[in-house]
Amino acid sequence: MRIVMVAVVGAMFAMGALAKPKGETPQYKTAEAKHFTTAEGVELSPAFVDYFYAELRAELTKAKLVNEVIGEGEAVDDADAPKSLVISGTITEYKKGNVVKSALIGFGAGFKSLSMDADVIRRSDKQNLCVLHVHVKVDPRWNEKVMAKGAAHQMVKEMKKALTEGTKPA
Amino acid sequence: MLVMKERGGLFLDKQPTAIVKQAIEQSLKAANLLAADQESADLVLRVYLFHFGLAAGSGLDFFGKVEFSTMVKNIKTGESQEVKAVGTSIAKGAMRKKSMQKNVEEDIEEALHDATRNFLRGTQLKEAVEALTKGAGVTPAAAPSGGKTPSK
Repeated sequence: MRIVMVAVVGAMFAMGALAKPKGETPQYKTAEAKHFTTAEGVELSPAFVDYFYAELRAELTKAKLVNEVIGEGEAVDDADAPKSLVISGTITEYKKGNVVKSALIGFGAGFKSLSMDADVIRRSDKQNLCVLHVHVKVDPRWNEKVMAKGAAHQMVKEMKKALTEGTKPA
Repeated sequence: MLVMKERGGLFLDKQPTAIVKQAIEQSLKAANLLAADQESADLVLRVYLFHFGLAAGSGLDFFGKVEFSTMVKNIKTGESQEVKAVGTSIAKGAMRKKSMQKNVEEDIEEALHDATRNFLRGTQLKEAVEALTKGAGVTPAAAPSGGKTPSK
């Protein structure tokens, strides 16, 4: 029994090691996240945009999609430009939500919601690598910054998926 | 300066303007671009600090932000240009005061580092220096003047 257990644990470790090779170098060298703009009618504070910008940069660093996440407006070496990304976007819709509706009905009714579109372009030739649409919903009692956190996480996840699929050989 | 009022107060031992001035001076010195004094400098930087420390975050973590604007001035011609820089950082939240102090300190340091890098590596500064030193035939060197908070 003990030998079987040791074999199972050993197999699990081996599968883990095979699944993701260690020291894998990121596909892109730099990524520049820009402050997102807000569409007309979106009632969000400028602090929200700042916080989302910070969260997006933090998520990009965590995802290890690029070697370095640079700030807005920073210069990049010409040699690195073909392997550099620029992420910009717009917050298209924001609904404040309704606490009463959420408490009485539940099941997601009255939730705060946020929609945003983002473009990921290559720095050198401005080619659009992917277009992302993110929609997040949170409880209306929660701080709007929590929504920014969720949106940034989802955006990076989708971006990673889109860029990985885009580079896979057919 | 008080940076965190909600949890009994966390203070910085120096004025934010002094910290920013020191950070820019150190970076310029490391690149051998810092002039000995204002008179011998080709360009003078006047820093206006808008935000230093923690900003309103989600409550689950610490959101550090450093934002400043710099007037790059050619003292010979009197021309000047504005360069903006912003640095942000997000650090883990904490419950214990000791870990909170550590995280806040790291967060502010990271935001300051980010802002300094954003300023020095930014295309705005490059363009301003190119425009202000055009035809002067000088190698860019700058002397930061004392950081000042914007007048309200």
